[in-house]
Amino acid sequence: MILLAIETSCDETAVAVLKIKGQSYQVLANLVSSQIYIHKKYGGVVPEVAARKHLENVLPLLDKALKQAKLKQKDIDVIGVVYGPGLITSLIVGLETAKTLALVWQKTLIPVNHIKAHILANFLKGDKGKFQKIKFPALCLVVSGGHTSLVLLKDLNNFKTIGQTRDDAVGEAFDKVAKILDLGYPGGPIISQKAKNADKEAFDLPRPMIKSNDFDFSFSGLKTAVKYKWEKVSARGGSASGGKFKDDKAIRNMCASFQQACIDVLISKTILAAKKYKVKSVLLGGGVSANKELRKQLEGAVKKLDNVEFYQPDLSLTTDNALMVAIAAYFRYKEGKGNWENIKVDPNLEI
Amino acid sequence: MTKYITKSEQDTYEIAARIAKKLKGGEIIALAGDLGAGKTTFVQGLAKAFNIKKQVTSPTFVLMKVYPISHKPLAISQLVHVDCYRLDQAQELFYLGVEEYLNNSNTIVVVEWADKIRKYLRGFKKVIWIKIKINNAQREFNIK
Repeated sequence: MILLAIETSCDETAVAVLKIKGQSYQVLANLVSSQIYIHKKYGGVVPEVAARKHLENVLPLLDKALKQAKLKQKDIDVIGVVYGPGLITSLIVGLETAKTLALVWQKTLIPVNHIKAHILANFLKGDKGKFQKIKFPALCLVVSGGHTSLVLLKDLNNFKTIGQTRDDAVGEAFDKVAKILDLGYPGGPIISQKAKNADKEAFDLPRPMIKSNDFDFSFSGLKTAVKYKWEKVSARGGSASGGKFKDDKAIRNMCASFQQACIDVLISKTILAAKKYKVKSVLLGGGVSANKELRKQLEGAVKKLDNVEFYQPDLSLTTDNALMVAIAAYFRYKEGKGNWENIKVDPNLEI
Repeated sequence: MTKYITKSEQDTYEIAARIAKKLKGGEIIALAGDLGAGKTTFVQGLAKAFNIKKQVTSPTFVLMKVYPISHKPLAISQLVHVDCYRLDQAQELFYLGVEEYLNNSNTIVVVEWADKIRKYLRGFKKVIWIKIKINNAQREFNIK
């Protein structure tokens, strides 16, 4: 079976072509056209600009993907597309493109939940091979710019959110802390780079809700704590000279302390949930799963549990991509739910 | 202008509840205050007052979230939570479809970082401005 997948939920336009036979898969194309450089100057995604760029990018990218896969439209069996959650204007471009193709080419259209796609990216390892044999029940820590949640998978088609952030997503907290420290956008890669080899105990930051006995998170207070500490530090140094405060050591230590505070809470809740639900696998997914410290420390913590396997997506599949959409569309197609003509985008789509 | 001082999340919730009682529908609540001022906490308080069970989380990423209200006999049927943190200009709100909710008599729109679209909001009648300032552990709410 050949799947063509489209992803436009935020600021990356992505198209992928995936071939699946039994338990084996082969990536025929996996293209992403990022807009990060366009949105950098705004410190975030500008929705109208993003939608316009998706519109410019999506058809050339589709052409390129089919050429790379050496396929024609008649070779495609199923089209997968993300219909939420995300930015409404961005989602519409992808969904309408996919609907039109499905209608004109007479293909089955499978709508995909962006978050489920991030989770299911864990089934792929490398450009070809067999699906990862993930045992159920499985627990996935989903961390991104818009989401922070723990999702329990009883099987491939049975997802349940057992905990989530009560305010800011962890990726959002990284972006906002980067802004407080005047480091630019996007915050995640910048902060983890700065945090390397710095002192993660230099600043005493809270671990919000770490003892709350549920699986919810809160990162808003942590962001505020960083802000207060930073105001004190920057008042002590440099600011009297009128220029911006640039004590690189202090910045690096704050990045490391903040990152560790996030990781501590994320790991603590994940392990607590893994024990409670007696899961056989722990998965990581979402844009923030590119954070190397989080990957390393969560893997270490899961390995201490008995008979629990740890999975994390390939680094290339942590950020938004269409390959994860293709695999999610495949599993949903197998489940056999049809008739998607009336599907609409849902910016607040839940698991 | 009314001024309130709050010392805890609970205090903020109470102010939100007090304001919620006076709302009739069609109002825009414009929130201004720095990162960490407690804007989202205030909106969570409003949601609680309207008996919205769904967890109200930061809309920074998706820019707008819509929460249905089934709290009868109120004529208000939805709370729309907008975040201008990442917006460059008011025009962006138009593309998001926010206009459909503004001036709508069954809707309350609450806007975070509203100071970024101050000029745009001048075109609307029922705008309630709430400025939040923090001093140590105290928060000052100025409402007009």
